[in-house]
Amino acid sequence: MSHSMLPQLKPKDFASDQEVRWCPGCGDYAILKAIQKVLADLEVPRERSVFISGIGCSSRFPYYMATYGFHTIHGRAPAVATGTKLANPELDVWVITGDGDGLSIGGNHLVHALRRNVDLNIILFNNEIYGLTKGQVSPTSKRGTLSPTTPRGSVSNPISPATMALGVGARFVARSVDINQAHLVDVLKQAHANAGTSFVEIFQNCIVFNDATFADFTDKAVASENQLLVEHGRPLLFGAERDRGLRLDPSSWSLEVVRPGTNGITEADVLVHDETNRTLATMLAALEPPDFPMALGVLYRDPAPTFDRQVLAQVEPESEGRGLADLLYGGRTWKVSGQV
Amino acid sequence: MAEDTAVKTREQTGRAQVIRSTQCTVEVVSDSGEGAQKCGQTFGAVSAKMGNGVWTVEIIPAEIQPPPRSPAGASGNRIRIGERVVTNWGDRTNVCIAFNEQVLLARHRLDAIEDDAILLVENMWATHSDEDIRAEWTAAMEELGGAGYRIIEVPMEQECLTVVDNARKGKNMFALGILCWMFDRDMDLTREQIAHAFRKKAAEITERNHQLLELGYAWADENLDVRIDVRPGLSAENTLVMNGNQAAAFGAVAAGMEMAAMYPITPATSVSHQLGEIFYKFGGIVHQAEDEIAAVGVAIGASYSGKVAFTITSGPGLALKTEFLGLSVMAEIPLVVVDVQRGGPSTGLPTKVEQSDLLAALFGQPGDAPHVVMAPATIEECFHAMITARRIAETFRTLVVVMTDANLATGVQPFPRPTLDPAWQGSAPDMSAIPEGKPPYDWDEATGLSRRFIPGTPGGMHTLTGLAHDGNSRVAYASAINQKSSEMRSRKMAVLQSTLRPPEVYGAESGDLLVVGWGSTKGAIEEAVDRARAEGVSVSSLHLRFLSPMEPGLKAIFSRFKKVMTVEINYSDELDMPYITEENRRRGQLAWLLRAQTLVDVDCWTRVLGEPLRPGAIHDVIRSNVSKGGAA
Ligand code: SF4
Repeated sequence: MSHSMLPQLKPKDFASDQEVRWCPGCGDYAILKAIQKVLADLEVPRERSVFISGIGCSSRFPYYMATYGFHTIHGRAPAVATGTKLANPELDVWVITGDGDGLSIGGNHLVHALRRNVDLNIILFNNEIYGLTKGQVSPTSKRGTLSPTTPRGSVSNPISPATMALGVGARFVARSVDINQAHLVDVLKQAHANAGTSFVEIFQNCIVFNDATFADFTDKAVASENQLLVEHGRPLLFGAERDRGLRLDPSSWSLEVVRPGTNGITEADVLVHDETNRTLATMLAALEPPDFPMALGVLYRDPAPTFDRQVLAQVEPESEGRGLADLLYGGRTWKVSGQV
Repeated sequence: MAEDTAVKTREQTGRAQVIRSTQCTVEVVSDSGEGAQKCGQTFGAVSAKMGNGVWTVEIIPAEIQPPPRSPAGASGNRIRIGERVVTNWGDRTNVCIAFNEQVLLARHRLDAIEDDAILLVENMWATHSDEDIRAEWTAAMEELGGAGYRIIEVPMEQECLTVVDNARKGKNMFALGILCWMFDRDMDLTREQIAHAFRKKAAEITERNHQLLELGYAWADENLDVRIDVRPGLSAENTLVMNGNQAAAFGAVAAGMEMAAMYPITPATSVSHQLGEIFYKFGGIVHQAEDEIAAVGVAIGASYSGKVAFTITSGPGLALKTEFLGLSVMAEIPLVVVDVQRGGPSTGLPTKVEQSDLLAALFGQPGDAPHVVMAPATIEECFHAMITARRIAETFRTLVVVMTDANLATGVQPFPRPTLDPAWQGSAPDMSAIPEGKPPYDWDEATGLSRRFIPGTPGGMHTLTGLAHDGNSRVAYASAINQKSSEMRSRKMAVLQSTLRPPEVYGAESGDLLVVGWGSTKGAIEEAVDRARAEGVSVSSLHLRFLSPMEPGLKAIFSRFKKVMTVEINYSDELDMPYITEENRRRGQLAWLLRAQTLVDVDCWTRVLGEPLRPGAIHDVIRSNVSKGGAA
């Protein structure tokens, strides 16, 4: 595209005229703002972007975009998006989903989109609760969550979305937080730039039904201490003073938090982030406070041929002059030898 | 050669007696894996290519790996051939060639064998080293012997071993040789057909199969004294021979479809196998999704962005797809769904025919979801239905369900080559810039029709939704909007209905009894009507291709008959059953619809035997209904 020819688009050009109906204070607003900024910065023609969603608070997202959008049915957006992308690979296809939509009712479709590596940006708003249906536990809710359907506390173990995505073969897995606009925009741009399924889990606060569920690493007071912002090729250091790091403990094959400069540990002992290392990414994805920081950023990126391109490469666009008539009447015709 | 239809004469030519008949039904049965299917298919294809009318039906065992020599394991083909067009599988078989006596017994017990049938059976079991097998043989022959069949023992194993080491892999072609002699088949055509059937295998396999074919032919010439002459009375030129699933696949290509999204399910899957072989040459994609729901979701997604997409399924899959079907109706995204019906409910009878999905196809989507339901009646119509379905789906921005069944799916029949029309392929979707302010559902007040906006089209940015919405695709928060948009979607069905012609009555335009059918039963119903009319019974029939919206003029047609009844392959109660009354009787699904639609007291006769209806059975029903009902 020739940038100079296009009128410079602003984030507001990507906002539709529809009234946004999320609760005041919902983390979704920040994500909407970030995506509108990403598209404006990238100068993606509006008619070429498609936002496909399922059901839930997050899935209202397409209404608020001045692009194409499709608010489908619960859990099935990855299937619709797969068809949309296969039909027209020139489109920029985004899937907007949530923890209930993407991991509960639609878990199967998410898994298969990821393992196929369809060229989609799948953005999962994780608020660890069902918001639209008023506060039931979700597949990412912590054990013990009190909700109308688990009045004595949930006894199910939560799914870790990023770990699951890595486990089923996703080639791009990243995480960010609703309230860190700069980080969010940066991660979403990287997701957009990646060819193949880009899976982004965003920790999103549901102020009404699950307020502060991520406070242990998102509160201003603890954010810098409890967030590890990973970057490819940079040491895995965190803390306001970047005084702590992650080291591989060879005796347990797990990560441990160390302080360089103490106990004979140097910065050289701290692991350097390698986003092409799935094992490391899987270990990072599993960390959580209070013992560990929450790892954010691009945990894993190792591009591979996309499903849509590979499928379309197997299709002959023109029938090479071999029409259906040839096929129907060609080698399978026969002569009648006198019996008629 | 059912006595009531086949005209047959006997004459002696040389040693062999020749039975000349207008039609004849043949079965080839074996344990599964012994190739009876291939023998039957080849016999059917050769007969079609010679200019006989043909209808074949697969005989499918209940299990994937049934134990050998068990009645439940009977696998093979029924091939009914005629001088003229054959439209159904007939009643009972006239000739049966069996690779063991147990599978023959299975057919006997299913009442599938004509009283005077000629049965050819492998006799190695009579002298088998296993005492139990010998005992089974003796018991079976006693049971069969009581029935008056003409039983001919054939030393298949012994003969085949002169050509192959493993006779199990050769008996089918030997049996084909016997049938070729009995029915005087064109041997060059047969050799060609064998070569085609084994084209993907090594050349020596074809070679060996040709030898076995000759061997069977020579053995029959030496040892048999009866031949059957069913003269080819049709032009075999410009004819295609295929089953309904293949016809649907070719129809999809002819219709310019571009994506088949599916999930494997019997008996629908082979549509995608056929497409897998050819679709890519036409720019088409076969997408095997992770489940039935995703299959329809992918099709909807593809259609949304401008490709012509369809999905193929059977009952359990149709059930799973329901919510998406509602979305296709609500968001007005063109979609074609092929439902190859099998027995139900639940897993039901996966390989067997039934017509029990009709009401589910019509009303399965919760909420008001007006859409189109069509049912091809023949294998040829399976081809054309795809073209019609595509056109309707796109013109009306709607869902079209095409209902076939296991009988059409696996039955093979010759039919005239369609003259391909490039117009069937439709035109590329309109992606010209959309004028400012034009809403995505710019419903024409009178028809409910509107242009659809395809992603990538400048100026058309909007969000489609499964929520109730207004013409701008804005979520409907005002009550009048839902009323209005429901009206617009419903209106399209009335507009489509206004373009349909009243169905043709088969037989006289009025009379004592009108039999109404839909789908694959057409041939059997019309054959039964012919038989009854030949006896002077005042009966006609009518076959519906559109179940939603229904073809016009039904009430007027019904009013000219004293009695109207449906004949269907789904379940209905009968009045002589315990507790069943006029009030609580559950009727056939089409009967249910017709009663609601016409307020005519439509009766029904239905069976769910896991097999196509036999014309003889329908004939009996007609006779009893005319004598006790309308004509009385
Ligand atoms: S319920 Fe929660 S997630 Fe939903 S809009 Fe309100 S705050 Fe946001």
